[in-house]
Amino acid sequence: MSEATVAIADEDVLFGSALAVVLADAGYAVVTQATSCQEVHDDLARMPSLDLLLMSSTLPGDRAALARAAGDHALRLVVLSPLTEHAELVSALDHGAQGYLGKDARLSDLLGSVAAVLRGEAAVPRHMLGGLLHELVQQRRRATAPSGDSPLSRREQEVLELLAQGHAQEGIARALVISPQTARTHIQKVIGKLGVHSRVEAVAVAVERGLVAAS
Amino acid sequence: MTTVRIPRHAPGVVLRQEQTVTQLLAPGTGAVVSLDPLALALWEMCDGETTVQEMTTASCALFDAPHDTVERDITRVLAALEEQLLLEWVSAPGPPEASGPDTKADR
Repeated sequence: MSEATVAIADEDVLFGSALAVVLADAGYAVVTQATSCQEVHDDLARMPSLDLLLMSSTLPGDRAALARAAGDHALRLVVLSPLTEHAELVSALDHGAQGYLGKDARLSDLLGSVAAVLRGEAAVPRHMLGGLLHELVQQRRRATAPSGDSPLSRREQEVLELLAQGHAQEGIARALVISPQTARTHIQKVIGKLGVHSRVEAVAVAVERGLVAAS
Repeated sequence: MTTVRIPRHAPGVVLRQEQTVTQLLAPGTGAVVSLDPLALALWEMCDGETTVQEMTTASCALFDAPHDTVERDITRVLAALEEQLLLEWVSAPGPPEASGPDTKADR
């Protein structure tokens, strides 16, 4: 069986080199290591038969265009992020990534994700699954719902009300019997949908718009 | 009229997370159920609004898996949670698109 060919694209040369060693140890052929989107484009022109691109979410250059180019080359894409934020995960998948992983992931999770993506499966961090599935349900509802509906899902509305009552992430998780990570995802989405930058601002705007009762 | 049965958390259930282990504690029976990441994701979608059909569609889209297999797995997980009294079902009017296996006649 031929080994899968992998390109690494990370602006941090040391991190990229360490990744290359780990993947080579695991039996993959790491054929190139780039530090910018432009370098990857050049590599794609020289090596059109790459199997997988591991790309940093903060790689300098036009990452969206690079993700499209990867798709054009039937190259599987895994995005490595220092943040593991819900919005970034959704954006990565929207741009054609099959995998998304935090740079703080365990090596076993990295190798498991690479293998899964090469098998044609999706690979996302376990703790982000709940928020992602919720997002997919909401996207489908938005696609079929008449316009003018509330921008917040019922769950997000519950989160907003708990925020307004003064609950923090842990308290919201306890109240809704969900994981703190998923509670954090819902909070981020509420903040994003209300177009604000913080929880305090979200509550202020929600009270102003009558989305929650003033306490 | 058809209705859709929608799962939601039974009152009083507690979720406990330690390291990589997630468990649900049933208030009445004292039962403790461990959840793998996918079961946890399904549990978190049991909000009294999301139908099994919606869970199935979203999971199929994410994992690129066959609808029947995903639906069977989800139904199995939810049935196990219901058996431990962690989950209950509510009825809601069925939307036109929800004429799937989770659509039942009013009972």
